[in-house]
Amino acid sequence: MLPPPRLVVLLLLFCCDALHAHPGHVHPPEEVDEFDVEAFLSAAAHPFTDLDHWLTMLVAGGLVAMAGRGPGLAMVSAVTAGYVSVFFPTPWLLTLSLVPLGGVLWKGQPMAVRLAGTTVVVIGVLLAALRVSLE
Amino acid sequence: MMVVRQMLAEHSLRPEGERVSLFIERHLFLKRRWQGVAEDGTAFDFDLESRLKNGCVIHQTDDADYVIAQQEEPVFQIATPTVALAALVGWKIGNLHFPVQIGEGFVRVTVDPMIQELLATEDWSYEKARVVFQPLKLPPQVTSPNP
Repeated sequence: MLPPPRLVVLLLLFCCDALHAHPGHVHPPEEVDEFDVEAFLSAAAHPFTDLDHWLTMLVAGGLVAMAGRGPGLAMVSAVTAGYVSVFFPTPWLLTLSLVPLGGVLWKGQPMAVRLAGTTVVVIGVLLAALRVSLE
Repeated sequence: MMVVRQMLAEHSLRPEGERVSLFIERHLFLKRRWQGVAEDGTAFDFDLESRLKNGCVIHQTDDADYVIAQQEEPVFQIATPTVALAALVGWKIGNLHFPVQIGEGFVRVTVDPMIQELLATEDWSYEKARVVFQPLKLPPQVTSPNP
């Protein structure tokens, strides 16, 4: 399926090097310094600064969305899961949250979705196992 | 698992043989909550109220001090024999927004394709080294040299 014409125009804008304000001028990714801000703000930002919390949020949001509960509840669930995950050993939380995701994706979904879901689950479990082995 | 909330001392006063190191990557000095395992296998849970420093003591037993040790990482060490060259190097790398460590006669910067590209176009003397990188971007209490 072709993207809508407006999207094509927008994509072309971002593809054009000449439109960059400063050619050759880059901003390398910076680590969030959690000591630069007050403790509350630091805690609030923490779930958004690590890959494992991001994955947990994606899984929780995806599960709720696939259950047909609507985007609003999916977003609330995702953010809540992100904060709750801070209080648990993340590798195990990831493993446990990815298993039901795999079940939902497997049940009554087209083969492509099943394969994608299985891939997500396998990668998630491998990441969790890697984290466990490193700790 | 032991929970660490703050450093016990900035440096260990015990001899080298009575120190157990917990090696960490530089970016962990910016984080409050993380886990780490010391050389002897002792696991620690960090829930920090204040910053740690390279070389600080986080736990003490009758036999040893457990100290934080920043891991070495690859950097480009660019020679800056003259003030003019140092200014030029600083300006060009600073324009790329990369943090640097400034020393007597050299500037260190992390290994990155953008820096590699810059070095390929400039006639600067440099070498690739593996060091404890302490860039200026970190606050002074973290960048202070080891005792």
